[in-house]
Amino acid sequence: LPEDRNLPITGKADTNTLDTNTGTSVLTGNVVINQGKLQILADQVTIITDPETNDLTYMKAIGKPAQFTDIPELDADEVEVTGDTVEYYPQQNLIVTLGNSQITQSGNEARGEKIEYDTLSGQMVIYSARALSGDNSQGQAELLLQPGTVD
Amino acid sequence: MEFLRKYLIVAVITIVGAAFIWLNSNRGPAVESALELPEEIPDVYMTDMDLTRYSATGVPTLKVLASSVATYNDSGKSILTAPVVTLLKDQENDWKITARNAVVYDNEDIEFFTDVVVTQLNTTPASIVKSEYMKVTEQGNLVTTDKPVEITQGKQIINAVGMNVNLDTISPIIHLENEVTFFYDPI
Repeated sequence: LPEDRNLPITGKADTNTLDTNTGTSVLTGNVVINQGKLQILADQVTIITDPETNDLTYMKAIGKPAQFTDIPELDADEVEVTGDTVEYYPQQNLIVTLGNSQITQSGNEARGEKIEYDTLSGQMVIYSARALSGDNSQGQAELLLQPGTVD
Repeated sequence: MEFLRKYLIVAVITIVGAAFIWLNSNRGPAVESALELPEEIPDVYMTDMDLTRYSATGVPTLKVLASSVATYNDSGKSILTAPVVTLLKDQENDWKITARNAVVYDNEDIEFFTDVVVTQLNTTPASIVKSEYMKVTEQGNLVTTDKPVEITQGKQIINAVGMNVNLDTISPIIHLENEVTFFYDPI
């Protein structure tokens, strides 16, 4: 939910490394990250903080696939996004999924190479491999809408 | 004549008594009671120790403060109370370790027990590691524990079981071995 962005971020993992000078933390093995309704599941998550402000500025999840779920707004259905990598920019309220990206909500699906998700508005932008590379031989984005989804 | 003699005796007694009282009032504070030694009597016992160790090239590598040190030649151990050990790494990467007690071994390994706090100096935000036990080996370069640890770094708090860090690098990496939980509060 949009108001979740001010909540603490918690996580669990098998192991972790922390660079004592840069503050970069790498959680590895069965990684679960939570912030309110937002949840990220991955094999490895890298967390970068700003040494000046100590703010968490970037989080990158890698998995087979990496996955995040969120509820875009009150009473909305849960959105699930999977991909090779999930990058979270808390200060821009942005989650970018790259590589074999797929969204699922209420049975509707969309696939593409890259998905940008605005965690405040719940809006999503899907980029196909063709759009990103300009190579017409690359795949296009695909959309699967359940009957009755569109009024 | 008789009166004069008595008078002299009384005068002498008075003077001696006054001197005795004066001496007693000016004596320094009562000698401190004997030091309270550990049960096992050490070969060497020191209080308020302040020790700095230097490398062969004269560079300070380790500074140790302790409220008491008991050294046992047979076992080669020294037991420190309230130790404050600073691992000096050219003032770029110094680390300070405090605890309730510590044991220093012949091979310079150090074990810390109870309320162990490892603080990174010279860096902001500093990494602070807390545990109930920590071991320092390899001449102060490797810090390890198999016990639960809590690490605070800026707004991050990380808990785990088991930790090791090699301090002999420009940017030491703390490895947390099991059951990691991570907490970050943006506010």
